[in-house]
Amino acid sequence: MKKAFIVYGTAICLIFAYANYNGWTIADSVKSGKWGPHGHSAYHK
Amino acid sequence: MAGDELKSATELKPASVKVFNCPSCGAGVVLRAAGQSVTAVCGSCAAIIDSSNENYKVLEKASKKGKRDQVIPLGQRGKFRGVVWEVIGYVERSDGSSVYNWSEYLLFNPIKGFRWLTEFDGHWNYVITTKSKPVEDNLGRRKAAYLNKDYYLFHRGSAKVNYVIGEFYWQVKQGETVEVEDYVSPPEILSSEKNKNEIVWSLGEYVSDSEVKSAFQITKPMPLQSGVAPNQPSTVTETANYAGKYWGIFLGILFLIQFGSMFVSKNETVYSGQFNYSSSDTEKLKVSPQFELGQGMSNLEVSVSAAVQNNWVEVQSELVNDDNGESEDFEQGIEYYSGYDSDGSWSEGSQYSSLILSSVPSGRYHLNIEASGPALPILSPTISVDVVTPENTVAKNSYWQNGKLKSVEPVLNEKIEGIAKYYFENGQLNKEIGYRNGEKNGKYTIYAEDGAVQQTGIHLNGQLNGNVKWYDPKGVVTRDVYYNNGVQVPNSSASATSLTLNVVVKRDVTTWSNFLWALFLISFFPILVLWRNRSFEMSRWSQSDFSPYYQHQEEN
Repeated sequence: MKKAFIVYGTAICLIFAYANYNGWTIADSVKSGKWGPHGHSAYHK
Repeated sequence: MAGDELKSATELKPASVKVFNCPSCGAGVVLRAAGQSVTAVCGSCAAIIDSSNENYKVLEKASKKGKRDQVIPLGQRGKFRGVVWEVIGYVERSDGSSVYNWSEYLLFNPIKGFRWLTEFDGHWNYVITTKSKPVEDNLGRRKAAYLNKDYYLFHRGSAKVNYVIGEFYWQVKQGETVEVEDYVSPPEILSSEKNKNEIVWSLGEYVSDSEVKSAFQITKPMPLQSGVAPNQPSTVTETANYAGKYWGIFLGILFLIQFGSMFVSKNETVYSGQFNYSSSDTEKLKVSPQFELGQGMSNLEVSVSAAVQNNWVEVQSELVNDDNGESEDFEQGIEYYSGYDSDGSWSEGSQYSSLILSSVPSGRYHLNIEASGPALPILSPTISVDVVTPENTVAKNSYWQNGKLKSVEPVLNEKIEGIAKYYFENGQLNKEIGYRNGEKNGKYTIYAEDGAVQQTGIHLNGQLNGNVKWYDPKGVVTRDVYYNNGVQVPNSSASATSLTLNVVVKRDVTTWSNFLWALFLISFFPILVLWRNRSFEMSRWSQSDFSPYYQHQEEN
């Protein structure tokens, strides 16, 4: 259990650091945030 | 553990096994700790005999029978904690109410002396008399300190001897009652027993029933465990300790990463502009100039603000990568309301909204922005509001009972067409309403009985559209509300003439959402463990009058 928690916590810290480095945000507030071809259909929901 | 203070190993006289005849029934009585025990109980007639000398005087006849199941028989030997012990005595005791009963087994080793094994509700303790007196502290939460460790008061009451068998190092008496106090610091329990002459302190350690069973080769079923013992160690205490320790370390690392990220964030404004919406606009879509995002992958913050007041606007945007034509669309809402009530001024919402776009690659971009909502200027109805009555209509009149004209409606093809007029009973004009094809269309006016204008407005296909105004008798406008297809535009006294939308785009900004998520994820397990540990402790202390978790009436 102890080892599992250490591994788990370390993984969280690493993912957090990597996400910050790449500008990746978990709480990305874009509702439909998908990159796609630019066009009328992509714009008007 | 009533009785005299336990003799240490060095004080013990050499023990030997001796057999004598019971002076009461003549049966043989075995003394396993002859020379050290001062009382023996006849296994045949249960008479309590003075065994301190060879006179073997009967102290008490015919003890009551035991109520509990004696799982370790007298004379049973077992290796416990590296020492061979022999069970030489057995006592059953109860609290003052006789509701709670427990068993105590007196163990003897010629070198080590005496120890006790006690059992209550299937929970076992290995007990030794303390060598020094603990220090009681009655200030605040009551506790006793022994060997630099604090023990908290758990129970205070009395203990009565109900049944004895075997031999003992003190003069045991049935019905003997002592005052007891138990202090706990799991897995240990510190107990005091007080009678008129002395106080005896003992220290017990919680032991598993399997350990007892194995040590004394008990073949009978062990008493079933129920509840949580006062000093039973929590199964999650150790887990809670290390979870708390590593949680602190991980939290420190998260803060380091977060502050490091804040330190290196560029927080660079890559675009800032304004978009003006006016009633003369024919195109709602606004396009920003091109802006460039620097090398690498980073986040993007898009902020919009507008001076809306008691109103809202929704902004639909599209971030277009001009290099590859890909786009990401998103929405932001701005709403702000304020006012006064009996508690004073209030406000809710904000005239500002921002969002974060994740991992936006470098390149050249522009924004397409389209705003909608009642805060935006609304175009006035594009119809002619001036209605005239065609010449080929037929006037349909109605009259009041006094013979005065009530209404005049111009009718064409069985539908009202033109300006219909309605009158008060006194003949004064009440309403003038424009009609087209049987539906209210164009201007209308409502008059008071004195001829003053009360209300004006415009209908479009039967629905109110545009400004509706109310007047006081002096002709001053008292209320002005804008309608859009029959629906009142909220809080609008008139159609807005323009709205300016401010847009700011920033690259590589600091966010806290990742940190909060990481904090949540590393905290989840420790919180769960702490909660379980607390539940265990609350269960333990629910049996106590001195619980730190519950209100109680403490005895004085």
